[in-house]
Amino acid sequence: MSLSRRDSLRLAGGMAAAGTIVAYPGRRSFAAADEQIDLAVERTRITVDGVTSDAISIGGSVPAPTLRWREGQEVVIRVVNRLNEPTSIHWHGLLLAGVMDGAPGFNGYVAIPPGGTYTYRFRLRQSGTYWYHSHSAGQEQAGMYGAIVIEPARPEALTAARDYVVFLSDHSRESPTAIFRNLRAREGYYNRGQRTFIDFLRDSRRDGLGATIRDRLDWGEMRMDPTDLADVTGYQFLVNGQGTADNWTGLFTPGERVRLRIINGSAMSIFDVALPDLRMLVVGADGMPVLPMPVDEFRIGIGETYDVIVTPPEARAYTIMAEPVDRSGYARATLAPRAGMSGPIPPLRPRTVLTMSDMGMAHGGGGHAGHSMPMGASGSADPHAGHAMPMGAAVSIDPHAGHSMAAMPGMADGRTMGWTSAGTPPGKRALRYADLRSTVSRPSAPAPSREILVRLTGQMNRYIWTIDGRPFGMEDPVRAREGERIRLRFMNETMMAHPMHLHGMFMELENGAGNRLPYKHVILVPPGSEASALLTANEVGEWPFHCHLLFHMEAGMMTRFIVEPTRVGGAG
Amino acid sequence: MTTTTRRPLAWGVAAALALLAPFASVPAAAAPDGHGNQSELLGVPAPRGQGRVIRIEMTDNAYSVPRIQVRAGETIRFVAVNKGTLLHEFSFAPAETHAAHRPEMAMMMEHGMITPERVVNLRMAMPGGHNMDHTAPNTVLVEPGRTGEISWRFDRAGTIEIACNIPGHFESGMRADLVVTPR
Amino acid sequence: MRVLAAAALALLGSAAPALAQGHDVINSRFRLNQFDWGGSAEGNRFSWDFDARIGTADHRVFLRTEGEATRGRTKDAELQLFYNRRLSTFWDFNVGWRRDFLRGNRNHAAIGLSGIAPYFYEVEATAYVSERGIASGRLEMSTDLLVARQVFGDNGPGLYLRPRIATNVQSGDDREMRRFAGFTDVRLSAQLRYEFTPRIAPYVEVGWERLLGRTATEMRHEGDRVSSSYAVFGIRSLF
Repeated sequence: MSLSRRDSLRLAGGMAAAGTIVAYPGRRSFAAADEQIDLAVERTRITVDGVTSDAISIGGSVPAPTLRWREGQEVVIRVVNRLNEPTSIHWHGLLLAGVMDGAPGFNGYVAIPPGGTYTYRFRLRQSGTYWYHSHSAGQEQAGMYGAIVIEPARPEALTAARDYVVFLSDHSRESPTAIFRNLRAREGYYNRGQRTFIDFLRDSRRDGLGATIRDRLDWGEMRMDPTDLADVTGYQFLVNGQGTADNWTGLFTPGERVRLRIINGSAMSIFDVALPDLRMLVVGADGMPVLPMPVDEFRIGIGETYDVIVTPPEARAYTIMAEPVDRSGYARATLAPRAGMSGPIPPLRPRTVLTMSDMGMAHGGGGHAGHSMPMGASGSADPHAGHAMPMGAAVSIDPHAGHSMAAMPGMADGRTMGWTSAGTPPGKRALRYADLRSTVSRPSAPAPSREILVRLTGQMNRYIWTIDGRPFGMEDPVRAREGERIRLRFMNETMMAHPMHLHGMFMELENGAGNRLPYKHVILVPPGSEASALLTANEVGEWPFHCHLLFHMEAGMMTRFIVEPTRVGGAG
Repeated sequence: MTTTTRRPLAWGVAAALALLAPFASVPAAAAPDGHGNQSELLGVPAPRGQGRVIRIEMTDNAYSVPRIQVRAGETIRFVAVNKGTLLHEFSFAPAETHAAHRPEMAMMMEHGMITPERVVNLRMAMPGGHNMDHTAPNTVLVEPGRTGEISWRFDRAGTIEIACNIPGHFESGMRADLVVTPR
Repeated sequence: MRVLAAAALALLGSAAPALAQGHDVINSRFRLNQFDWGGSAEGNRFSWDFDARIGTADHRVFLRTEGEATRGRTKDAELQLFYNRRLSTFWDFNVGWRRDFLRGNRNHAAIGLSGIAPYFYEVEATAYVSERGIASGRLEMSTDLLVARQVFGDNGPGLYLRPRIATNVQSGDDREMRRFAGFTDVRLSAQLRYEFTPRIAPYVEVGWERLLGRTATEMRHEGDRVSSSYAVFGIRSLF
């Protein structure tokens, strides 16, 4: 895998960053390309578990066809827009010139007009599991998403007999516009898990009346709801476009290694993924190889991908379960020796309730490694901006506090407490970010010269989501010079987890893995927590940097990450 | 570490206790006596440097041979050469014993006793008077570019497993059979 | 009045668009807060409270109408039109106009605050000046308590209890409207609502209302009731 830039792409990126609208010379002959494909974007109807609803497809299907390529190839994709509105396709996680990235309004890329065609052309500088989707409002969640699988130029150490994409998504029969309107109409419009008076009685019996009242008052004082895990419900959860009854099935012969490329391409759903009877060996995260890590389950943020290897020992059906964190349903698929089989479906796990420590305010010595942040660290006019933590305290991601076996003590009366409690069964091991170690050892990676604070802020009651208190359109861009090494420090001041996605470059998640920080293009920052990542700004351009919860992005949680060239239009 | 002499796979007990520490408090001294484990390992440790040399190369993540065969009565000097870029373990024991050992290796990794490439500390005192320990005679951790050795006198026939129990390595296929044939 | 309008305009001016550029979506919401029938001490009773809102997250226009009819006669009806601007996370500023119908018709200039107080109390506090130069004030507070969700399983509809208090005060006598200086009235109510979805939420409500101070005294002289209680059933809906 090579992270170095290709010269031919440099010029376009540089020009785009300099503010020039780059008309891509797309009329070049296809003959030079190694792979070429035509993809049409059009309205369609899809049937999930027997129910038909509206969707938008790329290449005639939902999800869109899996693009299987090889590292080093030059690919050409001609996208035809058959919608009556502008569209776009973004190559999520790929390193490429800005204008090819496919985010309208960035890097000189302009949305493809109705009836128009856009020709993408880029050389693949990496291998692994990625995906592609629309970057135009409301279209992605209507079905415009698909997987990209890039075979490495050099064979991998660990091979698998079978290789399947497991594309997780959520599909609503409500239109994205209607959902957004409802979210703005009333706080908690879709929240069906709020705590009731009956919960109050139950909690009082368990924790004592005083503690329960104190807890309710604490949340009430902040005007926040500890059950707010997912803003939207009413989704059908899909695996490769199929519902739980459709039951997508991957075949295997017992004893074979099966590689699953799990992609969370949903709009709003963070999943806990497990194969109840099979251990998974995590070998890739966000497309990049990691040292193999055996786990029983993992939590996957929107936009993240995990490659896992499983070895089903017996000739029977194994269930793949993906439960959204609010447990409003599940996606399932099956690995089986032959088609038509299905394995047992475990009962849904308990839905967690956020705790004060998720807000960075543990009562009674929670023992958290809390870095207290200077209040109002970045000059927001409104001390309440960021509807969580008015005091601006955040808890750093403690590598030992993952949702592993340690989650068990947090379970009480069938409800789990705290964001990290995934309801992991006793004796099972959940993946933590701290477990991810890049296969590439970088003992001599330079220290960052600068730290950029990225405050994740919002107002749940109004459904305004922002970065540093500023909505997209009024954003204060992140700026770096080409080649500069920086640290991004995320401070989540809200009570929701935000999968923060950077286009164009990989971030190196500071997870305690020393010289093996994993490369990530999405970092899931838990509620009230901090996370940090290093980054070498080696891709000139003006990159989108946003929360991948699509309605958060829609509501303003996006900014520009500008990498200025050291020399404009520099040596090609 | 007294349990080491009594039970060759002492890391099992000590680290398992460490693992359980958050849930139960069992003093380390209460660890059960491991009788019959020498027979489980088909022999006993031999003085260092003794025996017929069997050389095994370790890469990321595999052993150079899928199977090693020795005869009961033989003393073997296993020479494990790490040609990979990661830390590897050369350990032989029954498969179940290894399976129980793997979570403990994960704990060692989590607590920084080992890193993906290096051994930092093979013993660690844990809160509550427990210890994690990886000094048993039937196992050796070998850093990249280095060589580890175990000499062992086999006195019983049987088949056990050679495995690297560092998280993810066994699961990636880093195992081999150790077959001891009757005299 | 003129002063008020000027103040309102000045505030509008300072309310330079913060979010309302390009990216902030304009949307609307229609809410039927009360729509109910039942009986009171005075006879059968019908009441309504409807509002419509359009705008961005920062700037909105509100239209609200509420009123009540007893024994088939409209007893009270009013219409309010507000410009609503986000002040902080939990508070909005309102400025606008209110018109009362019946008895006499009155126009008022209105200025106020609305929002969510700690512990999720919805609060609306508005000051008015009528065309007759009488200043008045109104305070409304309510909250939604989720009683149970378990009726049809954890993800089922919610049963809410909504206590509410509303009171009015004014600076001088408006004989035509039969309201006199001081606190004029108070209303306490409790609504038990079964919310299938935010769109369909039937409820039952009991309430008690009483005229206060000189208003009560004057009305008693005229032989009117000064206190009354009611029980109604109705439907609440959000679109």
